Amino acid sequence: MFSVTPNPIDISAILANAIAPENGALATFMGTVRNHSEGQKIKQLYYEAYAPMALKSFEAVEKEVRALWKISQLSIIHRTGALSIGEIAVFILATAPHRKEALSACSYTIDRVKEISPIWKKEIV
Amino acid sequence: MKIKIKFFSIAKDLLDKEEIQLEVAPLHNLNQLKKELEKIYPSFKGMPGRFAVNLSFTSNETIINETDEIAWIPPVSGG
Repeated sequence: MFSVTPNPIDISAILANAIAPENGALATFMGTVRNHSEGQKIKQLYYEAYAPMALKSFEAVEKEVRALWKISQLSIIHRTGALSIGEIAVFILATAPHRKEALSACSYTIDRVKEISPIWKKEIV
Repeated sequence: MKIKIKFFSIAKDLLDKEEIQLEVAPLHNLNQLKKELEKIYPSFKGMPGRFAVNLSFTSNETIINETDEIAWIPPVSGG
């Protein structure tokens, strides 16, 4: 499931239907808003996305992941708009029969999203 | 031919525009388009980033068409 949304990410809803009998592993990553960056205090982060292209980039990342590891589900959800400290900016979820694939897929996905997805953050001080 | 270009992030802030419409000669490629933009918006010169055409990155030799969705993508910082 891929999404670029201004709405707060409801993790429990996502987790609720992510666990499946054939899977033995579920890995997640959450990127949250920190209160500082490079020694500067931050009040908020503002995220902007070129949504249709971002969604297409998520699909491209999924294709890369499935070529590397046998996974079941991959979810990528990214927030847009103004986020305050502690809010979840990005949520990645990967399920797989075994932990190595789930953890690797999760880590690879966030790295690639940060590399290719047309999303930008602006620090509000 | 008339084409549209979308701007994001620092490019949008600098040009103070989300999208512009431009008249360009047919058989224009992205390199030529960038030069056109630099003529109209001198501050665009040296602007980091690259073009995306129809939601994908593509080489600067790509010829653009009137129906293409063109966007300038500054260095990304999502996640």
